[in-house]
This record gives sequence, structure tokens and C-alpha cells, in this order.
Amino acid sequence: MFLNSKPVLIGLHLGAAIIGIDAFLWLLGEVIAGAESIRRRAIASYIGILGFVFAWIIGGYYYVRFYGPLVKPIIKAGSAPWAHAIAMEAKEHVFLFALPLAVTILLLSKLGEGDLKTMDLRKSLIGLILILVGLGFAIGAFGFIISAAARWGII
Amino acid sequence: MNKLRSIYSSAYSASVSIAVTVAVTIGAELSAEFKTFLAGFTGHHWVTKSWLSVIIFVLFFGLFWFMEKSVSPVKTKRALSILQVVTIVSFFLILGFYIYHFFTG
Repeated sequence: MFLNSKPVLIGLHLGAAIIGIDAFLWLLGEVIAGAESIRRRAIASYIGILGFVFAWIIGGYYYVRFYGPLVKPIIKAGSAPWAHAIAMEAKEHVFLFALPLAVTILLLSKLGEGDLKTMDLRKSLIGLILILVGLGFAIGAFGFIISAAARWGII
Repeated sequence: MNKLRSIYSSAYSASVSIAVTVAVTIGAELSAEFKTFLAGFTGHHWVTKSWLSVIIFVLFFGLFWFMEKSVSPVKTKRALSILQVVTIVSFFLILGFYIYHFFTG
């Protein structure tokens, strides 16, 4: 069963997070280009939210079931214990910002291009998407640090 | 306009959810009893924080929705600006706290 396969879980977690980030980058392109299709923006936002929710559930399961008992002790005993104490701790908590931000972006993206401009909310939407994507990249970088510490920290 | 009311409510409830996540996270690192208390709900402190962030977001969304009957674009823009600031500050608070905690703990 894939729920016991650690590499598959990490792959699904990473894949879902990448889909989430890419969907919001797609949305960013739609907004910057001034594309009129609200439907396309909503689809991008829904895909992004689904990606983050899936990454949350799979990553959370892996974190509680396998990371804590198996990986964390290896990192803490290795040459880079800070990878857990700083990168993992920051990653797991900053991730909790993603869903409230993504839902707010979805609601904003349902406003038409004209409404965004007349209400002066276009820059707010672009700013929020950039922040969410930036958080996604930071979380990805933390994940790389954690994986590297687990693989190479004991050599 | 209901769309603006939703955006306004979501922006403020997201700010509250993120701020509470930061407060609970730092509080749990500073107090072992509080961390154990959190873990008591679901078996793991992070799972409890995850549920808490969602529950707070939903609860406050409803609260702001019912509190504010009429929302202007200016009010909405302010709520979104606050959310941006809260998110960026919270990111650096969490990261800064764990760096500080590692080197002093």
C-alpha cells in the first residue's frame, strides 16, 4: 500500500505542492496579462487550493507517521541538526499560512478585470499571489535542506 | 456587494488565523505543558495546530461576515494590505524565532 511507501509519500507531497505553486503562477500570469476570463482564473485558483490541501494531508501523514520517529532522530544526530530545528520547524508552521491565503486569492480572482481595476484591488491580488508563491518556494527550499540533512548529514 | 464582503471577511479571518498560528507555535515552544496540552487533542501538536488554523479561519470568516454588512473597496483593500503585512511579518517571526531558539535553547 502506497501509504507505507515513504518515497511515494514524499513524491506525492512534493508533486501536489508543485502543482499548487504552478497553478498560482498561472493565475499570476492571467492577472498580469489582464485576461478577462474569470472562469480560467477560478480554475487556476481551485487547482492551486487542491494542490496545497493534498500536499498538506499527504505531507502531514508522512510527518506524523514517519518523519518524527525515523528521520528526525537521524538529522538531530547528524552534522546539521539545525536542519530540523530551524528548517523543518519553520516549514511545518509556515505551511499553515497557505490555505487561508489561497482561499482569499480565490475569492479575489472571482472579481472581473474591470472590477479589479475600478476598485483598485488588482495590485492587492498580485501582491497576495506573489507572497503565496514566495512562501511556496521558501517551503520548498526548507524541504530540500531537510532532505539533504537526512541523506548526507551522517556522512 | 457580497463578493467584496467575502473577500473582506476572508482577508481578516486569514490574518487572525495566521497570527494565532504564530502565537500558538511560539507559545508551545516556550511551554512544554502547553505543547503537551495541544498534543492531547489529536495525538500530535502540529495536527492540533493544523485543525486550529482551519477552525479559526472559518469561525472568524463567519464573524466578520455578520459584523460587516456593507463593505467598500477601500475597506477591502485595507484588509488585504493588513493580510500581506501579517503574512510577511509572521513568516520572519517564525523563522527568526526558530533560529533564535536553536542558538540559545
